[in-house]
Amino acid sequence: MNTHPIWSKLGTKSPLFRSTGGLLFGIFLANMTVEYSFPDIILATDIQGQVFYRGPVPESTTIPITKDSEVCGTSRKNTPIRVHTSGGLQHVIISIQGHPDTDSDQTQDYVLTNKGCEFYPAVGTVSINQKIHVSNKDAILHNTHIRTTDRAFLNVVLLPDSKGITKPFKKPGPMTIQCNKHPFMAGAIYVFAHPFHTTTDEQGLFRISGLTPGVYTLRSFHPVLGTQEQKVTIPSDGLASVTVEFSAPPP
Amino acid sequence: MRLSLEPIWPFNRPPRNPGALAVALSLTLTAFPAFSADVSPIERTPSAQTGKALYEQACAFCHGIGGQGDGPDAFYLGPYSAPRPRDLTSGEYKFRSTPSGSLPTDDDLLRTLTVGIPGYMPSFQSLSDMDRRHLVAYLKTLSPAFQEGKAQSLPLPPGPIPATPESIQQGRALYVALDCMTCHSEQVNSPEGLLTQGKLKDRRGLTLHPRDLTNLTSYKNGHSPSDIARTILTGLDGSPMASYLEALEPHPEQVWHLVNYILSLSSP
Repeated sequence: MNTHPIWSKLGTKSPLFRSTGGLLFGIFLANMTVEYSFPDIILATDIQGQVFYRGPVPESTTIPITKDSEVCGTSRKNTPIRVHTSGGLQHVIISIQGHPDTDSDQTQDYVLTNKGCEFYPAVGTVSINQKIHVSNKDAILHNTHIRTTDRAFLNVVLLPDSKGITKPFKKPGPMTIQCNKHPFMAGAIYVFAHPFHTTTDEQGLFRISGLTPGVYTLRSFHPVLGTQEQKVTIPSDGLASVTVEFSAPPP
Repeated sequence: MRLSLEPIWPFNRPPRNPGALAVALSLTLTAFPAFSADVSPIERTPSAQTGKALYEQACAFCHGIGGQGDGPDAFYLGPYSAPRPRDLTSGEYKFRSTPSGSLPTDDDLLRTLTVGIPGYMPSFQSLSDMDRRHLVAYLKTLSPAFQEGKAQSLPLPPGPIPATPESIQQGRALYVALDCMTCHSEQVNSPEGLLTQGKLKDRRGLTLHPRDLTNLTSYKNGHSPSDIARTILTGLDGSPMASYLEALEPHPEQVWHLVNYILSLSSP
């Protein structure tokens, strides 16, 4: 244990230490309130769940690639609905609506990487004021074109192995990502005005942390299958679990 | 009775003392500022209200009364052809001096109003400078995006530089390295660039055609060296033309080589 030089110099058995320590302890006791109540501590908890797809899975279509095939390959499968063998649905955007706490403490950049002529992650969620960092890990040139529903957010050319570019998100809403040089590349980002959001993984699983107990609306959005909402109750103790099911889109 | 259209005295004959008349006129103009729009303190501040009246006379035919690019003349441009008149409510502008995804500056809007867009939007140089500034003030009320704050112009690197054969050659190498030919073709009538022609879309899904760089006067964002450098560095939001600011970041002065090469494409 490191001891401050002044204490080493004085020594805990020195009369000066004993008298000063005793005086301070006496002042502490004199000022201590007799009644003390602990503040109510609200423990934040998590919600976890799984999103399933019930219905026939549409067959993937194949897109031929004629440009930069040495990096991008000669074809790409277009799979708008990605379903795991367990029935779990990937790339569903999950959010909690109506939570009183809207401040996000997310300070990490959202990293979007061009790699193998794909966007990683293909689908993601961010909070307002979080920054996106776009980079290119391919040995070819890409342009990353991110748009809101009505205007361009960013459209930049990135050299091979570019260090990238960073920009903050300022408005909530959906965004699309594409590369105009390689039109088969596609992705999406959803910007939220609160911190309670995520996307489902390959198995359709998700988890959102930091919720206080209460009744909220869980919103599930899939770009092909649409939006679902359901009420969820976050208990004061324990973990909330929920299951979401999407059915086949109408023909 | 003799009718005359000549103005009455003192204008129908030379003044006896021209100096005194000049002093009197200047005193009159000072006393009644409304006689001189450029001197009026009111007119020095752009007014969105005045701009609205001008917009409804000069712009609404194409851009629509609400600014959504749906004016009556827009119908005659063809509902399935691009580019359409700009939807001024979106806050998305192609011709800017600001980074990709940013709003234009007041000077950017003023420049487009003044010079027009070759082949598409006429120049409004016939309006006074102040009237164009009134219009700029009104245009900014059409989109809530302008309440987000002001964007800053990107500084151009020092230049232009002389179009020497060496500079043009370096520009040609950049043109290839930056993959410009994917859209604009490597050579005139080369099938290389035509691969993407017809496949580039605007936000409405309408087909856009890459600019023919051999036709200098068709450059929509201007064809001076500075205009071309600005277009390369900022991109044209709302079209697939991306910003090359990041790509040229290590040596931004190289943009002038690229400009010299592009200008050489239209040289006789």
